Formats: sequence, structure tokens, C-alpha cells
Amino acid sequence: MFGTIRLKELLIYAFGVSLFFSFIILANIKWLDIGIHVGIYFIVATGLTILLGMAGQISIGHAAFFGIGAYSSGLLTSTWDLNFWIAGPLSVIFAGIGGYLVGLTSIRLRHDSLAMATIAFQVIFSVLVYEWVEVTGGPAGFGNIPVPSIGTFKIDTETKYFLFVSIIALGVFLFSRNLISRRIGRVLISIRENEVVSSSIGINVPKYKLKVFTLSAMYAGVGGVLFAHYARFISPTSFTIHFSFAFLVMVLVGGRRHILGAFFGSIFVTILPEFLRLVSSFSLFPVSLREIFTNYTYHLIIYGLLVYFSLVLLPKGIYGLGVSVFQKRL
Amino acid sequence: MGNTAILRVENLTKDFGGLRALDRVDFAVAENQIKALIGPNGAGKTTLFNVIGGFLFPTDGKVFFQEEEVTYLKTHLLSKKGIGRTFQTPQIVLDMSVLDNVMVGFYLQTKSEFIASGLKLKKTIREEERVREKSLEILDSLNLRREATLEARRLPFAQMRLVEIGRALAINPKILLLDEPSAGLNPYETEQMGEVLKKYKDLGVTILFIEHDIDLVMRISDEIVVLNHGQKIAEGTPTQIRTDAKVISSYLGEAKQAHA
Repeated sequence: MFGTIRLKELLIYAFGVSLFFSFIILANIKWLDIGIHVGIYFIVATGLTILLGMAGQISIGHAAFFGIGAYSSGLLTSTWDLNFWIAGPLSVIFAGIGGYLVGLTSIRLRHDSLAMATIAFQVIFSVLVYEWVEVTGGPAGFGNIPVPSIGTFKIDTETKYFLFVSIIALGVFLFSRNLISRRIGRVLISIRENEVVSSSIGINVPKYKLKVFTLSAMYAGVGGVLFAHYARFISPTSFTIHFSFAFLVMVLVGGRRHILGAFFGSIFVTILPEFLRLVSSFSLFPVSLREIFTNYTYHLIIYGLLVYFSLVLLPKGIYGLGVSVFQKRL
Repeated sequence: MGNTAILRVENLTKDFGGLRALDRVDFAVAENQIKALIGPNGAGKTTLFNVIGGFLFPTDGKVFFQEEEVTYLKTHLLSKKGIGRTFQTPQIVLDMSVLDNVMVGFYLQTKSEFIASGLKLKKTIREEERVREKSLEILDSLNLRREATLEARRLPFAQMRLVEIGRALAINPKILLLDEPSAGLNPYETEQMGEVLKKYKDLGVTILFIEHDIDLVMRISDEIVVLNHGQKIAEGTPTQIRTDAKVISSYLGEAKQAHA
């Protein structure tokens, strides 16, 4: 397995690993919290990269699949007392079923119908968790979600949870990399580029669109499960369309043609509010502008601008920029 | 000539609103034959291809492949039966390597699905190696082996077209439908293309192609079908077509004038 790795790659891996461990040692709780969020968002964004960047299909409702994962796992473990290792995978499957059903209704129709269907699903999901108070706790949400444990070992500190999320994120990364570098990856790219050509080599295009959409929803479900058991309290505000946009921003700004783009994108979007808060503390900005920087709702404006500029100026995203800088230097 | 028809169209008619693009077209392609489809622009050649290839369904008439009716089969099922095709402008993925562009054509002969690929199971690795081998063989036969790892966008136009043919060959087709294989090629490249097609005929592939380059058609075809205004006006060997009065008046004469 390591036979073909060149020195340069080995150095990059070594650098990554040492960066990872220095982060664990040096980071305080706040930065570990950011790290955990990056890991969770990375998983969701990777699923969206496969969907959008590889297969060329869009979802503006991934926060709903994220939410299905979070709510099912949260409810199954707290109200139903189910073990995390049963409830978690089950919830991922639920998210997949959600994705399958949404895809089923729209994938055979015109190209943009999938986008509409995902928005509709997002809205339905938000209303449902908001109004179905007996089950979801409504706008107040619900708590008492247990931390995951392996035997008697509880994953109950930020450091442990960060490691836990990192291991799963690494697994997801490797799985995805294998997936898109082989047969399925070629099939998905072929569908993205030309559906007519794809069918002329025997690909059942709607079937693969449905499969990849389901897979992508499952990735979001994995993220949701990890989110619920970390936050231990969830409410509808974490699963609004706002987050569906944020996931798209991660993919587009990070670089949609490579899964590492999802990594840079999730770091970028997670750190952005911190950065904006920092910027707004400088008194040279007028108060009204500072308001925009710190108020959550206004972040959508910034997301919009970011997507616009990255599509125009950086179509390959941060990852693409990094690669071209790196190649010129070395 | 081989006497069994591999592909046969019967009374094929296609209307687009009030326009009759195909009008009761009949012909057959015999096994291991190179058959050309010629005619002026708008004669219905590409429409005919789209009907045979399952992209369009006919208003009337039938398509038979190996004596089985396939008129209303969808494209991906037709490819499964062994119909490969290329397009008027080469449709390859420009930011994929030349090799990957051919490897995608092996879709039907491989099985690894999402989970097996993601987990990198032994069988998917073996399958991947086998497909890479076979794709390189195809590239070899198209004189493209040295370009295998290049990004497809770096290839000259003529070679893009060969890559597309390589992908169509990868499905292991019984018949290849080629939409103007010489379009955009210079005379030398056109000649090379002719050699490639003849080579694959010798390997047992049947070819039906649309073409405007009359020299190429006359040189490599076993038989020719001439369409005009959606109707078949002639069918026969190159010698017969060259002397057919109807063809000369409606197409060849016109083509000659255009060349002069």
C-alpha cells in the first residue's frame, strides 16, 4: 500500500499528522469545539462534493438530511434508550431513505426539479420539527442526548470527541477517495458531463443519480448523528435552510472538484463567524457594519458574496488555488 | 458479404410536428459490413441515428437488432445489447485523462458498486487493473498509448475523436454507429480514420456511419444508403451508387459542384 508513495507525498502526510497532534495538544476547548464542528461539516460537505462536484446534481436541502440524522439518533438514544452504536447507523439509514424518497420524486424530471424538491423537503422538515412538539420538543428542542461510549469508555470530553470525529471523518474521506477514483467516480463524472453519452455506454442515468443522492444524504446523516451526540441538545435552528446554504458554500468555496475541497471549505465556513467577530471588534467600522458581521442572519449576505466571487474568480476553490500555488513553487 | 442482418430498420418514420424527418425508411446492415449513410444536410441522417440509438422513438416503423425488435428500448439497454455510438462533435470528458475516458466505456463489463469501490475490496482492485489493461490495448490499437495519461483537453481534435471511438469500442459493441467520423479532420487524418475503421471491421465489428466525405465513403464502404428529404433514394455498392442517376442529381452532383 505504501510502495508507490513518493517522498513529497510522505512529507505532506507527515506534516498533516504532526499538525493534527499539535492541534490536539495545543488547542483549548474553544478551538477543539471548532475542530469538532469542522470534522462534522467536512463529512456533510464531502457527501455534497460527491453529489455536486462529481455527479453535477444539486441539493439545497442537505441540512434536512443532517437533521434527520441528528433527530433520529437523539430521539432513539434518549427517549427510546437505544445504544448509540445501533441508533447511529439506523439514523444514517433513515437519512438515506429520506434522500432516496426525495430523489425518487424528482430525478427523472427536468434538471432543476431536484433543486426545487430539495428546497421543498428542507421547508417541510423545518416545519415538522418545529410543530411536532410532542416528539421533537418543537422550537425549544430537546436535550439529554447521551454521549457515545465504547464499552465503559465514555467519549465525554472535547479532546475525546475531537479524536472520535476525526477518526470517522478520516474513514469517510478514505471511502470517498476510493469511491471517486474508480468505476463509480468515472460514471458520476460522465453523468455530470453528458447524460446522453453516459447512456450510450450503458449507464442507467436516473438509477445512478438516485444512488448518489441517497449516498450523499447518508453522509449528511452521519454528520447529523455526530452533531447530536456532541451538542447533546438539539433544536430546529441548527437545521434550517441557512445551513443548507452553508454546506453549499463549503463545497463551492473549498473546491468542488476534489474532496479535499470540502475539508478547506468546512474550515473556512466554521472559522468565518469567529473571524467576523474579530473584525467587528475593530472600532474603525461603523456600528451598523459591525452588526452585519456579528449577526447570524446577515451571514447569508456574506455567504452569497463568497459563492459569487468564488465562482467567478476561483472556480476550483481554495483547494484549486492551493494546488496551483504549490505546483508553481515546487 | 455476410448474409445475416445485424441491424434492420423497417418502414421507419419520424415526424417532428408537421415535418416528416424520416419517411418509410427500410434497410439492413449485414454482419461485419461497413455501411455508409449519406445525403445532403437535413436529409434525416442524424435523426435516423437517434431513432436507432434509442434517443428518439419513431412515429411509425420498427428497428430490429439481431432479429429482435428493439424499437422502444432505451439507450442504455441498447448499449447493453451491443450498439456503440459516437457523436458529431466528440463528446469526451476534457478534464479526465485519455485513459479514464476509455475506461468509463467498460462500465457494462464491470460490477463494483458504491460499497465495494469505497472499501477498496480486492475484487474491485483486480477489476480496475483488468479494465486498465484492456483500455491500454484499445489505446494501443488507436495509436494513442503514449497519450494515455494526458488530460483529454490537450489532445488535437482528431485524436479526441479517436478517444471517443475508443470509448465506444470499450463497450465491446457488435455494431458501431459513427456520426461523421471525418468531420473536422484534415485529408491525412481522414485517411487514418478510414484505416482505423477498416481495421476494426477486420476484427469483426460492424460499422454504420454517417459521412459527408465522399472519397472516404467510396473507399471503405461495402454498401451505401442515400437519404434525401427523409426518404431512402438509393442503396447499393459504391460502384452502383456512383452511377445512380437519382443520387447524382440530388446529391453527388451537388457535392461535386461544391467541391469545384
